[in-house]
Amino acid sequence: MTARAHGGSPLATGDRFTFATVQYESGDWDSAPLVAANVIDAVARFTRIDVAPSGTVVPLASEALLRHPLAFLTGHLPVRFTAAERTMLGRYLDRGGLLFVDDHNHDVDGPFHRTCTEELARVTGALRPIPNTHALYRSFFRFENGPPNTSHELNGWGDNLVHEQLLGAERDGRLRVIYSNKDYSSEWSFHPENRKFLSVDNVRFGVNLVVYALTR
Amino acid sequence: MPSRADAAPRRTLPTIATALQAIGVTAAAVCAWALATPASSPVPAVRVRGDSLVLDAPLGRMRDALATLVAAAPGETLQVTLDGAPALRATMTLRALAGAGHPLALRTAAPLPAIAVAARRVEGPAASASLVVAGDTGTIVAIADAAGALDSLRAPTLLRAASLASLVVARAHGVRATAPVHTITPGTRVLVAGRAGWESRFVIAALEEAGWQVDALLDVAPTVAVRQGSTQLDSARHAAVIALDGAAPAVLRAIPDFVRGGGGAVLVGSAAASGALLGVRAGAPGARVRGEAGAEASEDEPRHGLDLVPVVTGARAVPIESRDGAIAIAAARHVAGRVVQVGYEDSWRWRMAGADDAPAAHRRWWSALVAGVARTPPLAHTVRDVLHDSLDAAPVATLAATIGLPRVVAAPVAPARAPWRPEPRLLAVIALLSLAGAWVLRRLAGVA
Repeated sequence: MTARAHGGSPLATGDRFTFATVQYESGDWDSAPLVAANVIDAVARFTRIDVAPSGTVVPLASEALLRHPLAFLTGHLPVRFTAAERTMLGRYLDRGGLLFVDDHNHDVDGPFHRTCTEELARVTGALRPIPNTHALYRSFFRFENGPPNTSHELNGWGDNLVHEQLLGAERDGRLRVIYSNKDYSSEWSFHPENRKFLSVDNVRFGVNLVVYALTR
Repeated sequence: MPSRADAAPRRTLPTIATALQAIGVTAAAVCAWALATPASSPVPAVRVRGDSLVLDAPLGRMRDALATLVAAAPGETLQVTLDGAPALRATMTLRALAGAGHPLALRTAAPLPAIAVAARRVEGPAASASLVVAGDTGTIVAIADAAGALDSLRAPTLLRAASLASLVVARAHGVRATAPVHTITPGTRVLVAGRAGWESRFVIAALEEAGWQVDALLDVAPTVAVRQGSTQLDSARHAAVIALDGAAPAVLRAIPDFVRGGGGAVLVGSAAASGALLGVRAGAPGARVRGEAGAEASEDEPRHGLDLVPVVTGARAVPIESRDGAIAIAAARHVAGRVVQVGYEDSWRWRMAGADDAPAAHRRWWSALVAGVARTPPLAHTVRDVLHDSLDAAPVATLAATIGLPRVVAAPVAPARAPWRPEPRLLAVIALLSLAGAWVLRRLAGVA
């Protein structure tokens, strides 16, 4: 699937995209409260997608999760899903939901990464690297080299924190889980007005994520 | 010198010889008459059992009886008793006899139930098989296919089956309707057009999971659309198009010609409001009605939970589904193609929040909608189809149209009886034996 120029008509309302942040029992699910505002801002700025002006918080074990086919999960701390959360997550993914998980630690093999990937693997099977040629990187903006790096990865201290690929779980050619170690949670937490000072505004990758979710 | 006792038999020999000679001469004369006089056979009554014509003929051999039947004097009425509706071959034979100048008097012991059967099998992503039996309301019909019995139902009825073998048979009170199962293989490539949204995501997913090949043109930004596959609506490529809304105007403008040429279109919700589709839509979109909160999770009526843009149908549209008195789905034919207009919006909510089987049900529902309109290649006329031409899907209707319906007569028809007629070969034998006996007796009398 590729994005190309096309002259269209104004979008209708009724099928509105609402950015949903997942609330889970363990850890710190609310470590990046400005992510929703930044992604919503970017989606509204660059696309005609009908987007709700503010995000919502959805408990992972709640049926309300099923009203949001794209959900965002982040945190720093170790993650242990409850049985109800695990069950609902499996149901959500089986029905076509897409979970985007971001490790807010931007480190290698940290506690969030180890525990969260373990929990996800219990539901979806082991996560595998997503090729950097994946449609996700071309769904709106083009990211020729795969996922955009963050300033936390490129901090100049030589600590080699760049993660070349995102991880994911697929079924029938469709991503069900996208897992990032790149700490977009920090990068997407600037005040939207301050992003203009960034040399590379990688919230644009958030637009790709939303467009991919809405079209695949 | 012979005694008186010996002389008495010899005196009777000439008398016996004379009697035998008289018998022989008489037999020879009758034989000669029988040979010289042509037989006058009656027209036999005919009994029809399925595809067999059974002649209640006294003439011994069927070949002679048929010859008699065919050679009967024109104008002579043939008495035909039907055990049931005749098979096509028997009906055509009777028609030929009637055409040869023999009026037919059809009769049957009980009324023949007029039933008809038709069946089709759809292959591809929306594979299904269905069988329709038409007939007088309440008539009990036994249904079978080439693989065996299926069910007994009351007509008229529609039977859906996982599959149907090549031939279906419906039986009711001596009537046997048979029809081939027509196989329909619609095209499988579909174009989905609309704006990027959850509905587009889940419609594409449902169709691809069901086996359809999906191209997509999804509007994202003023100059950007997400494209998948070939997004120019093409009669040679696409079997159907789905317009999810009023976005993608280039596709909407191409839909009327596409449908006129035999393609199918599914118009969802507000898509029908597009001016480009005025000529092909099934009806105008009405005012949006909110779905019943939480009803999408019910097993029985999940679509009650969806928002609905009712279809205000035009005269040529056929309502397919309604909700609370409002038409939710309607279909219309437009020249060679078909359009189905769906009033439900955001069906993805059903798939995500529905009952346990909601994803599968949502997939089947979308697949059936598309299969209902998808372009179907013309049926190839195969040898098997020709053979199937001998089948009769509505034998009573065929009989009525070809010859006429039989009169219901409770008493059976007595077979025609031929007048007595001597057998020439037997008479010839009798004559020979009698004359030979007379000669022997005279010789014996002369020797004595």
